[in-house]
Amino acid sequence: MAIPIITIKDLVVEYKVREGAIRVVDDVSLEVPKGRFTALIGESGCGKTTIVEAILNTLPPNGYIRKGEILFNGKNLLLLKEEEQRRFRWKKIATVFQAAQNSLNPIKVIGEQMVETILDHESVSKKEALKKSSNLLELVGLEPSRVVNSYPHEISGGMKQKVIIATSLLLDPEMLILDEPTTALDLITQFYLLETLGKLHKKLGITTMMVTHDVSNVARHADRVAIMYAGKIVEVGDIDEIFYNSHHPYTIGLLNSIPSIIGDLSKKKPIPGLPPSLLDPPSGCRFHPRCSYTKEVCKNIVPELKSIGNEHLTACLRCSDITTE
Amino acid sequence: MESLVELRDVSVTFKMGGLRKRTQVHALSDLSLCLFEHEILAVVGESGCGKSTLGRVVLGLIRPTSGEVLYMDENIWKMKWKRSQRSHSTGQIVHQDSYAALNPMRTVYQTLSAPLIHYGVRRGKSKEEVCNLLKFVGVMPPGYFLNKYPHHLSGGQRQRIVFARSIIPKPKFIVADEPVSMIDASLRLSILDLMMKLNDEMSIAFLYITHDLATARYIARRGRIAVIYLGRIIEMGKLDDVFQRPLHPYFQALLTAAPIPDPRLARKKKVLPLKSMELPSAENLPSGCSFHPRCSYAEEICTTERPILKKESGDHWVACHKVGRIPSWNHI
Repeated sequence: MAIPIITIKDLVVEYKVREGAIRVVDDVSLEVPKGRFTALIGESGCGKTTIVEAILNTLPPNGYIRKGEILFNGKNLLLLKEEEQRRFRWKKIATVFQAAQNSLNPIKVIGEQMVETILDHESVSKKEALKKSSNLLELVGLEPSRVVNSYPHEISGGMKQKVIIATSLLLDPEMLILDEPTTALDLITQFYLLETLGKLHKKLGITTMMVTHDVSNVARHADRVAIMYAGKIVEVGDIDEIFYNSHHPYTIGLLNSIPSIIGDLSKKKPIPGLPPSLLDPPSGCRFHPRCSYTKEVCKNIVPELKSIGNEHLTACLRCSDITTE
Repeated sequence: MESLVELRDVSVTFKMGGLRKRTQVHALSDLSLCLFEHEILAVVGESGCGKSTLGRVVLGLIRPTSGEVLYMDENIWKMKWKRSQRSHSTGQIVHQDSYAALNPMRTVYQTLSAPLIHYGVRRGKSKEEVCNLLKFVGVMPPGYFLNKYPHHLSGGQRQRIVFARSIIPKPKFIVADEPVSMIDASLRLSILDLMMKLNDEMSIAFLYITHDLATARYIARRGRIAVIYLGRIIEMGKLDDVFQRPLHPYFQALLTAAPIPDPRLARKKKVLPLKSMELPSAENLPSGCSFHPRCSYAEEICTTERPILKKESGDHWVACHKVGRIPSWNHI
């Protein structure tokens, strides 16, 4: 196993709401291995974005970390001071948020925005900064001469998203986090963008973590997958292990409910029931009301993530009885 | 099969811009299409290709700039007002955002009982009828949901309520415009299954509008598909034929770009053979075949002459000058 760049230990994140506190991330432990492409997959509201926000300490005002540790290369991020944190973001971990194309400044040309970022963090000349920006734009497959002097409204959504990715790499971060980078993009644009990300990961060897609800999106490029359900991580493993040798009923059900453009459709079926409300989660295993393997014990005992070999961890009490077939 | 709605050479042009610079957006250009009784027709295309406009034209919500819209062989824009009203109530629409489609101040019971009473259910029996309706669309147990407001429900349940409301007038067809794109992945299929059930048990035809090829393939597996590019149909036919032997370079490109939830296959995928990933603006359409600036097989003729939709085999229609002369397409 590669050395983890990020280690999350027993993380609990809560949001204060009118009805009390919602535990959005409940006792999550996760290792993100260095130099690999990790995908964090879960349905809406399962807490995947909250994990990213906790790593960057950018939780919304009503959110707070109740307990746990987040280590980056062994250093606890939760103990950093405000200014240290600001320096840390982007320089060590760069993030591309959902619909990030809208985060460009509409009244400045692209080149200026990129140069400004470098100059704010590093002491280099303007010329060098511009050169670096151009190189990165080229790396993501854009023509620097055309883009550098354009305003954001003069380029397409897919190009804007690529500009954002180039911008995120300006300070040579050790890790890139992408939160649903392809939502609101067209199919063909989305394909090219994922291709670009895959290439960047291979070329630069940068640790990449992509957060998405769409399993299909990461099948081509990811090499490690973590599956989240109702605030908990239920399965982690290398991508082929997760797709072809899963031992968690939710993972199997999720993969079975995704229609595809090839293959047999007759075996596809939705998971019965509904995802639970986090205000009042089910006892024991949170998936038990929807699971076809449920036994009495699943209602009482919360399953822990356990290794089942091959760097594959599953949180299911009955995992030995469950296979993909 | 009887034709339910037929579009003949329909064009829709929207006028844009302010006082100084006025431009025209060609949302649909000379589009002909038939929706048959009891069929499921999937319309796929990227955003801005005119697929939602098409849905609204089919329902009679937008008057085409030119061309005819026939409902049961009668031009809906030449009908007497009363008749056209009646024909409108035979088609319903379900949108993407179920939260916006429901009145937030009304309970499920209020939302569903009003149209039921309007369509002839006696007040005293309305509760029973609402329960039956909820059971039919799979909102169980019905009694529990009668007094819930939309914000109490999940996206999937809300969309079921919207479908329940849409079937009250016993429509002949429903235009479903991206009905599952806001629904959780694990529940998407259940909404598609509901639509197939309505199609099966109530003989409601569906015009399923989407950008997602995989859900289109799932719901229209026994139906047809039409692929739209910049306001024109470029390929159309039985879904199985079109997916097994895609002939138009644009549809081939879409299939290549569609992600596959299977890592071993996904990794083997070829990269798209496209010249440009930019969609041309609908204000200024390219000459000839509107796909030629992006097509890697384009020749002289493609830049000057617009290809017409021609029958290739059986019920498989394609609009491409080079059909049959481009390499056949494979998933891997």
